[in-house]
Amino acid sequence: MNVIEINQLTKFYGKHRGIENVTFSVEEGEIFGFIGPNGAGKSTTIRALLSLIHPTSGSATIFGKDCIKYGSEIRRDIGYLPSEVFYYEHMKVREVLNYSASFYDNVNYSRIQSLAEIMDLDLNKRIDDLSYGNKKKVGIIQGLLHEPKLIILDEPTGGLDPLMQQKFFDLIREENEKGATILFSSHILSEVQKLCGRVAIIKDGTIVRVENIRDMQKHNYKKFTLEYKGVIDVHHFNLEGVTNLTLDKNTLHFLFKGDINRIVERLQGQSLLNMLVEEPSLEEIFMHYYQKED
Amino acid sequence: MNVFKKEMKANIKSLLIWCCAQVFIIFAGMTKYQGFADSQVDMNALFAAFPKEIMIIFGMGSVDISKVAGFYSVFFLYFMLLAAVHAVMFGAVVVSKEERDHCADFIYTRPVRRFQVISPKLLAGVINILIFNMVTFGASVFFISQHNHGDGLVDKVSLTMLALFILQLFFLALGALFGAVLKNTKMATSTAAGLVMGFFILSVAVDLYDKIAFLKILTPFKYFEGAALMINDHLSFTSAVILLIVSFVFFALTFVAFNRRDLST
Amino acid sequence: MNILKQELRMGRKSLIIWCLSLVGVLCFFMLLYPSISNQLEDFQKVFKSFPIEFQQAFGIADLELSSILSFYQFTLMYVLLAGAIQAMNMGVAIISSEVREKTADFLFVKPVSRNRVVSMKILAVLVQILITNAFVFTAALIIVTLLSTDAYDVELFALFTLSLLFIQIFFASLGLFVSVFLRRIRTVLPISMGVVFIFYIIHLLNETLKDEKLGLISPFDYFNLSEISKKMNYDSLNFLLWFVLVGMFIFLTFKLFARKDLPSI
Repeated sequence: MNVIEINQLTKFYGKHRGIENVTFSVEEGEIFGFIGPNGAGKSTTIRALLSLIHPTSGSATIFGKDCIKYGSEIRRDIGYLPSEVFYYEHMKVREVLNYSASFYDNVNYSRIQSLAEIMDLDLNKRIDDLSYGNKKKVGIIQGLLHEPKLIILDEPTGGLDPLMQQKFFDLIREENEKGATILFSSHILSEVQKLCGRVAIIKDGTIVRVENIRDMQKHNYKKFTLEYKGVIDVHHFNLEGVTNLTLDKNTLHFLFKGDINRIVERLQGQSLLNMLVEEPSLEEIFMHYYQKED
Repeated sequence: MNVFKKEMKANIKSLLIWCCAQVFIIFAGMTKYQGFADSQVDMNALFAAFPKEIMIIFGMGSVDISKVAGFYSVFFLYFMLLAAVHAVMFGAVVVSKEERDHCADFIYTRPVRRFQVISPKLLAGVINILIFNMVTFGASVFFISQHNHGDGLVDKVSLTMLALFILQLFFLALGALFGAVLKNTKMATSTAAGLVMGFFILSVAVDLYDKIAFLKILTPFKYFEGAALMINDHLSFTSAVILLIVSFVFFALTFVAFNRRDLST
Repeated sequence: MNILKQELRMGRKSLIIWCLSLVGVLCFFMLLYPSISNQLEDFQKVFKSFPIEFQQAFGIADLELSSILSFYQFTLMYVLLAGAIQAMNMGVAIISSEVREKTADFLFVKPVSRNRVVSMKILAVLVQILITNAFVFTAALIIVTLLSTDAYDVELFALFTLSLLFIQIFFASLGLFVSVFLRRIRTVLPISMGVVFIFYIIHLLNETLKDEKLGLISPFDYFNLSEISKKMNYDSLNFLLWFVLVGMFIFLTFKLFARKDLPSI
């Protein structure tokens, strides 16, 4: 079953594009990555899912219900952590969290305490005395305290130190194992790689592709590094399926997707010093999406 | 120059609204004047019979409002009030807005000294109140001339506008000082608003009860009188000097306070 | 209920300050009454000696200056002015604060509909207005009773004082509408001060001009205190207008806010 279904979702701010024809779905129980460079439309998509903004056209459903129409009902089971966290400055952490909890039925208030212990957060401090990272922790706790079925994270790790990031990831995995579906938006690929099963890649407001992260790495791309003795003819490898072609002194790098024999054909008669064929990192695949059409 | 331009641009809409309101008030007031002038009984005699306190209670001035200059002089109070609110709010906000918008780090880490940021902001304030003043002037002369056989009373209105401008400058400085000294924009605007209300209420009270007339000195709304400006062509020199000196001191204190200020993010 | 409780808690401090200021203004003027009440009685005699046509022309034919209520009426005008600012402030601030303080991403992702949030916030404003009015009414009743030497018309007193409630409701709903109508509000007070003062000055202007059309513009004229004392009731046309406008503002607040995109930070 799909927890989130987004269908041709489009948002324009006047003439300015937010997102255009975004379509993808997130299945129950998965950790779904949502990656793209800054300004690609990740937050716009998420904000439309939460009915913070109204789409120009298209639709999105969560738990099978329309996001805008049944917004408040749906949000009972959503936990959201925004990329920038701001809370009522004159309140104490505990008060903000209790206020947050008061919106949900059957909240286990002791969970606030236990989450605060895990995240190492002092509940008696005032919000305006907190550092950025600590505010982020408040955000994490208010997003998780009602044990939501769907957790939406918008670039959640900024401001957390590596140790906290680890704790946070553990927490997310734990929630996932308990059955929560997770939509994880980020521009940091390594963390998406670590956590997610499938990813949607967004660029300039449109989805470039939705793929299984393992497939993406293993089955599609090979990263070639060729070291030459003499002069290199760059155009020699200018064939379909080759991307990210770069020349560094007498070393040639490129990514290749397709029938490997075509590369082998081309290699015949070349005088190589060294040759390396590897699995590309997600970053390298990703750069390819970023650079295309630029 | 960049700061100045940005502030001018940021305030153009609000200035426009203020000017429109002002023009509307002058228009509405002067249009109605015709009725007064036409149906004129011996207003002078009537008003002479009224004790001053009664006039105040009924919101009428103590001047002959059947003459156009007298009628217009009543407006001076309105101008003062609106101009005071406009200028004091402008001052309070313009100085403190970066911290409100959480972008103080952005502007104050540039290779400029703080007074180089504050000066163009205050200059923008002065230009804004000047435009407000000029629009008031233009609208006044235009609508007066409509009802005064083409004579816009330029001299009298100019004098009134000069007094108004001095007051505007004072309120701008007052607002700026609050913006520089107080913790945030909200505190600055609240305090400024409270003080303007206080000044206004005091100015009414000193009219009402002559035993407390000495408190006049405390409220800028009593430094100039509409009637004196419009009818006797008299602008109190002492008042002008005091207000200008105080404004200058406030501006200076704004710079000093702002230089020492710990900026919040 | 949690939203209501939260709003009341957050508004507590400013509510106390406002209540004290309103009563402060009231006391300040009313305490002048004993010193000038003798004067007022003299004026009454002067007035009664005027020809009746004249009295009618100035609307003083059935004026009872010797009554404390005529002075209370004058005082109340300033309470209304301050109360209007308070109410408009609350109206503009209460919804826009979530965007200004950047807490919209917190509140509006909770499982409550926007309409419910707006209803709760409007309710919070109403509760605070009612508290303010209860406080002012009680304080005024005590002061007027203590200062009056003769019996006074309690019904008229109630009509006068209740106009604060209606004026506050008007400005609060106007404020709500303005806050959802404008794209983004950064500082509340310049808006509410500006709007209230412009309306107040139109009212002042109309005190002199007595223009019916102009009277429809300013809400202060809907509850014109001198008219109330003459009719011993609110003007039904104005009251209807008040009702329609308040209803429209509230309706539009819901309507516009439901459609509004909340800006990301």
